[in-house]
Amino acid sequence: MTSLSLSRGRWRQPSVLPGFGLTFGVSVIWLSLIVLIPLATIFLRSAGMGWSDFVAAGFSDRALAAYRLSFGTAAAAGLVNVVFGLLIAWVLVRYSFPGKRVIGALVDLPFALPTAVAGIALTTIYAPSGWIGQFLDPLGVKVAFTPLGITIALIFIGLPFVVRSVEPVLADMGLEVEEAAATLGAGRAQTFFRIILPSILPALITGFAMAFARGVGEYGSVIFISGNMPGKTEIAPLLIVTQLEQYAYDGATAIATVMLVVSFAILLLLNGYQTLRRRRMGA
Amino acid sequence: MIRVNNLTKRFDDVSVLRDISLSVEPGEFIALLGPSGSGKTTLLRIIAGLEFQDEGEVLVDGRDVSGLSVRDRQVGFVFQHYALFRHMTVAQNVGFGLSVRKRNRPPKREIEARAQELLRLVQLDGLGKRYPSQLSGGQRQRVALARALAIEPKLLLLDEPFGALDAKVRKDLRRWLRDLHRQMGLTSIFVTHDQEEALELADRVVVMDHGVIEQIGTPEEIYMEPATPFVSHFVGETNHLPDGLHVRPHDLRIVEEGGEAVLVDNVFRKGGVWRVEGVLSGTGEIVEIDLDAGSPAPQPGATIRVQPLRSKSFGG
Ligand SMILES: Nc1ncnc2c1ncn2[C@@H]1O[C@H](COP(=O)(O)OP(=O)(O)O)[C@@H](O)[C@H]1O
Ligand SMILES: [Mg+2]
Repeated sequence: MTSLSLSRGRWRQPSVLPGFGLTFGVSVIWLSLIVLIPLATIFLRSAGMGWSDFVAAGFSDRALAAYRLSFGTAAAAGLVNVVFGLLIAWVLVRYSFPGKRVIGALVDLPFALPTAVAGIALTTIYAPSGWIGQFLDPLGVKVAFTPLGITIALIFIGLPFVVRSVEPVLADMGLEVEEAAATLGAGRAQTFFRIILPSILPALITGFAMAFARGVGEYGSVIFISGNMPGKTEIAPLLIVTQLEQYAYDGATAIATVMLVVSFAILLLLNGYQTLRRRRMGA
Repeated sequence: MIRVNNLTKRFDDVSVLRDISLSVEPGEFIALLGPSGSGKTTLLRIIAGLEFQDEGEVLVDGRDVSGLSVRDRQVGFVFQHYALFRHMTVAQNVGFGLSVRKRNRPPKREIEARAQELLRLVQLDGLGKRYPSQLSGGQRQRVALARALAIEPKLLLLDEPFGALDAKVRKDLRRWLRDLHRQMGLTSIFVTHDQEEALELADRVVVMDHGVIEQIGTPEEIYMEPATPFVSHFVGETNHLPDGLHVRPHDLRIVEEGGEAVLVDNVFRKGGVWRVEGVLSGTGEIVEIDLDAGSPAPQPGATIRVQPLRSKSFGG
């Protein structure tokens, strides 16, 4: 009995609200139904393939190129969103101006818009004859049907994640720490890089992780602008769909498994860093 | 020496400070005392350069610093809620001011040593590696103070330095701050809405209300010779007797004949005295009287007569 209550004590925070058992149980069942079991079937299926078949399908040249493209563009888009998402969050938190609500709503639009619509719109704009494309084309910058186009689509999709995760932290931080830095003699750049940026880094990383994860799995907005050339502009999710259309279920599963493992590893790494940092600061 | 001349400040057409003038001598410990919203923080922020006045000037050693940005003014500012850098250790917080210096920034070793020294001064040696979230309120307060002292400020400004602390810690920290101020030869201004704190700590008290200075004086002067009814009210306890007489509870005594009749409501011990609460028969005003604990206490329901030993008249 003693050992049981001790070990329970270590797992649960004392709380005025009862029902740890109930809420934890529901959480586990829910996660299992919605996330774990569907994902497990993918693993089970690929486990039944045999190793050499798995490697042949999951690590073919075409698949490797697709991974590189998907993870590469998602990371690039995530990084761009970190910079501009922070900028937008900053403006939304620190300034009041007419139309602020409209801008706020605009940020969330990529969440709501069917991604295919975004894809078609972006392609129209960035095609060599499109609104923006016609100015870029003479400069030798090709956007539509290149990795650059894919990145732009993913930037569009991922923007809200960064803005919305950074915004509350910036608002919570308030002006006082900046003023404190100024009274101690810090300039603007010193205040930004030594005070503000480290304070919002966890939120930025969370925003990046979500935008990145979303970008890796994004399909609808990318397939229109990417051109889908195997080995060049074919993203991994598209490769999976292509495999499915050819009834190559094993191949699709193998690629999905590789993507899952890599994504999970990256997210785990980012989360692990956050936990480490929090624990160090004793918060 | 700090001089503030005819300072005025408005926020959106609302006057927050009106014609504020005061001077602070080197080594002085000044309290800005007033109720919440009276403009104390705003005045402190203008002196620091965190806010800018609409009219008037702030002189430091005779030089107008109005055009000087906060980073060039070299004032130590301790914020009401400390504003510690949460992602830095205590030692890094304290060393920050030295580490951002553009000109003659000390080497890293020296900054660390200086931070240790300051932490010892504020009695936090050994806690340098902790993060602010791992400290108590009183400890955070002292980190904020050490951080402000690191830049060797000409002037130390503290906004409600004890506001967020519980009564016991407050009392200890108060005395300690007073000693530190003397020991280091600082010139300090602190904001408080607690009259007891102001009277106990300050060399001189500046009493403010609604953006106006009501009185500047030593604690003795403020308490014994309040210049306005507001001061008499806000600093210490005051009874209203007829004809505009303001009398402290301990300046009333019981008499057999004459004086004012008071119907006693309640009698209890308050520290070393009897506190008698009653109602003036004439005006219905509530009266508080402190009687020597050695004397017999009147009974609730009885009517007594009281006479002021000392009073201050503010006219009818
Ligand atoms: N940045 C600001 N914008 C508008 N009003 C302000 C601002 N800062 C202070 N005030 C107003 O100025 C008045 C004085 O505030 P403050 O100096 O903080 O008073 P205190 O510190 O004595 O409580 C208050 O009425 C407050 O609402
Ligand atoms: Mg204030």
